[in-house]
Amino acid sequence: MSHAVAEPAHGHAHAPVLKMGVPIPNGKLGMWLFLGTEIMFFTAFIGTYIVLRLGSKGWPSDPEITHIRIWAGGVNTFVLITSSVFVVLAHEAMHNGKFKLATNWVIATTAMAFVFLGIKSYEYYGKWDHDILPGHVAESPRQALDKLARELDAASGLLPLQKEETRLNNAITVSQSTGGDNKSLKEQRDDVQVRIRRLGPVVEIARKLKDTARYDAIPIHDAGERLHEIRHESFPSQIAAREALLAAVVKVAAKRTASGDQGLSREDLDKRIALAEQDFARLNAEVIRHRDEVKKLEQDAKRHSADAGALEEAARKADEAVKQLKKAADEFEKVVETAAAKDLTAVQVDKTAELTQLRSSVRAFAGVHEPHPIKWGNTFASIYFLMTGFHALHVVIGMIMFAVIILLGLRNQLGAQHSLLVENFGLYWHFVDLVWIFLFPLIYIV
Amino acid sequence: MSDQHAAPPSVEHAAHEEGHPYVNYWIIFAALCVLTVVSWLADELGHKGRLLVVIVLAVACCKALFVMMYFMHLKFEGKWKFVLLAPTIVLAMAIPAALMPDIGSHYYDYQVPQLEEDAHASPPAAPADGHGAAPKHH
Repeated sequence: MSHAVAEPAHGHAHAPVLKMGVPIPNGKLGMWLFLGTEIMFFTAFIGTYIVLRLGSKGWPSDPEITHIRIWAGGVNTFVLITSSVFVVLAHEAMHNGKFKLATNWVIATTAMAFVFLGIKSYEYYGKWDHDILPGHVAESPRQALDKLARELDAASGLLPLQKEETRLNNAITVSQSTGGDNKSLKEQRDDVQVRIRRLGPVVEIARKLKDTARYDAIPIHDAGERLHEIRHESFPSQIAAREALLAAVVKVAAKRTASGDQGLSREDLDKRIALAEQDFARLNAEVIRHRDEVKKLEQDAKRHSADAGALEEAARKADEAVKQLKKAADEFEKVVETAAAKDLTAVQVDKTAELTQLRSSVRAFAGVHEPHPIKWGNTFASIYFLMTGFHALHVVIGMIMFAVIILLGLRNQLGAQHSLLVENFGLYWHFVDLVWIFLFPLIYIV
Repeated sequence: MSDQHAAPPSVEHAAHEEGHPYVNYWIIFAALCVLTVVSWLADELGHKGRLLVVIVLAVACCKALFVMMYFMHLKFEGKWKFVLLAPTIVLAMAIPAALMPDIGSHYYDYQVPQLEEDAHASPPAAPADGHGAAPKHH
């Protein structure tokens, strides 16, 4: 470009450089043009968001519903404003020839960018945890119950096993008709059937809620309470029941003399165990309920005047339930004393497997989301992630820019020739701040 | 006379090369912080609806002006800033303007599940929206 304006006739050493019509360096002009495209990019997003919101009656604006944390957005606003000051001070230091100081300001800016992304990821985790993701949100009570039924199905893990069982049964039939060897297929099928049987207690725990939710036969609030019960009562009591059962069986088996096998048939033993299991689970559920009551009353007592009578009563009931449980266990031990040793061993294997299954299902059921409809929640989530996501991407790109400056600074290579570079990166960073200045009120407050 | 005339442009030129006149950035920073607190307070004090929208967007515009004028030095730049930036604002309005008639301000009711269930539901069942009941279309 410079050759176009060189004026050899005058022979000036300082020939004017072509300025493309505006009195700023070309690099800065380029950055401003780029920022112009960025303005269009983000304004289109923000404008579209406003239009969509205007057209959606009942848009979720309650932060409790959308899990928007206003303090997080506010702190991040502060963080970005601070980083903006840091980067402008870096630019000033460059102008004054203080390159070490400039490097330090850029390092401080980058540190702020890390803080911003840290808070952002905390917020994103919250959205992930509550499943407020595009395409995942139930927007009406019916959809919420349907989602609950699907998640309960997935958590119990029964459907894939049933599918596998059907496939193996078909495979066995086909191989029989063609006269092939189906021994290994049968073994696989038996194995799948054993796994299905061991899932029994888990499936049973979820069955009622799953069915009522699937057919929209339960109010949404009740469904939430049932889910809470499943997690805090059904699973713990079923697990405790099997633990008590196993302890009793092991105790009896240890006392057993070699000749002691007599009396109780396998069939009767299974019946007794089924009964005892129900008994233990029920009593354990009572223990849990009374202990929860005690906990709640204790917390109440901390906050305001204590109801000593109610607390005592709840504690007494909890103790009573524990005693009942002990009694039931003793009775059960007496009943199974005459069972055959091999039957007891079989029971032990079976119940241990059920227990393992129950314990691992606890984790799966912890992932089931509370039924929680958010009207327009999917559009909300799309917009939230689109706008904050693109903004966060800009933050990351800004950090890469700053890394270049920091590297130059740490190698003592930063000089006056980089002044424009720092100014341009600074302009970009201020724009990132500018976008957040509008995102904060529009997403977090309004 | 001619010397006096020559002086101001050269000073201006020097100022431009240096960038801009001195700005105390910490004062701007303090102003931005105060404005952030104002919008937070407006929300905390329980203003809802249009007043809150007006307050927080006005605050946002003030903050944006501070950042653009002082941090981005637009206050000290030439008139080129208008030529360069004004068209982008106009072009950015294209998508919202195109969406507005159908999505933003439709005169008809939507037939979507979100509003259908509301229309069927009994009044207390309206779950979690702050904007009143949906239109009935039956």
